[in-house]
Amino acid sequence: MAKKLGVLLNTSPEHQNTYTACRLLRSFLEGGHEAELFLMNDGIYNVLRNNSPYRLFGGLEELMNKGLKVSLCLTTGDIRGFGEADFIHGVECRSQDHLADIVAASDYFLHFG
Amino acid sequence: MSEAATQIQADQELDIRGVVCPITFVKSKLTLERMQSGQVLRVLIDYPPSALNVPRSLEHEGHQILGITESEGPLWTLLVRKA
Repeated sequence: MAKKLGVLLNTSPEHQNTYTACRLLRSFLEGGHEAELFLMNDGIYNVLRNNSPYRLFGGLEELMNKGLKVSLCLTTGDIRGFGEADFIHGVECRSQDHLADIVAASDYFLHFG
Repeated sequence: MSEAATQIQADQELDIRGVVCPITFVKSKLTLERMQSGQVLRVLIDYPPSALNVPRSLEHEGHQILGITESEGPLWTLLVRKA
């Protein structure tokens, strides 16, 4: 039976937490399960539109193509000077109430902070 | 916050100074869940992102934001009426 995994990620693209969370999400999705990711603080840098050739990690778009739902805290975007247009297509700009909804709807919830 | 809002007597006060997101919202949400519809909660916040986040999220949940004031500290005082 398919389960739902919720993940809160607070760290930037080059951080070990990000790498671990993305590998875990990939395994979960490839196992036929559902997963949803909420980004806060420096975690929002993982979904910035970025054309740098030195881009460290671009895995989230691929995971979104596998069914990963991604949303972020709009306030942490505002604080860093980013708005909805700065993020890759498909990412929802939400607030803490959406994080609470993800927690309530998930069978498992993990925080990588 | 309007002058009328400052006259409103809160039914309960929640002091979340020293706490950051997302716990600020979680504590506010849990406190409101224990209150009656129509009652007013006063929330004391000192973490700047939460001064934006908490009212935004509570409004999304259907509660009425009566106002928020900033004073020295900085300290924000939020008044919210439970839906």
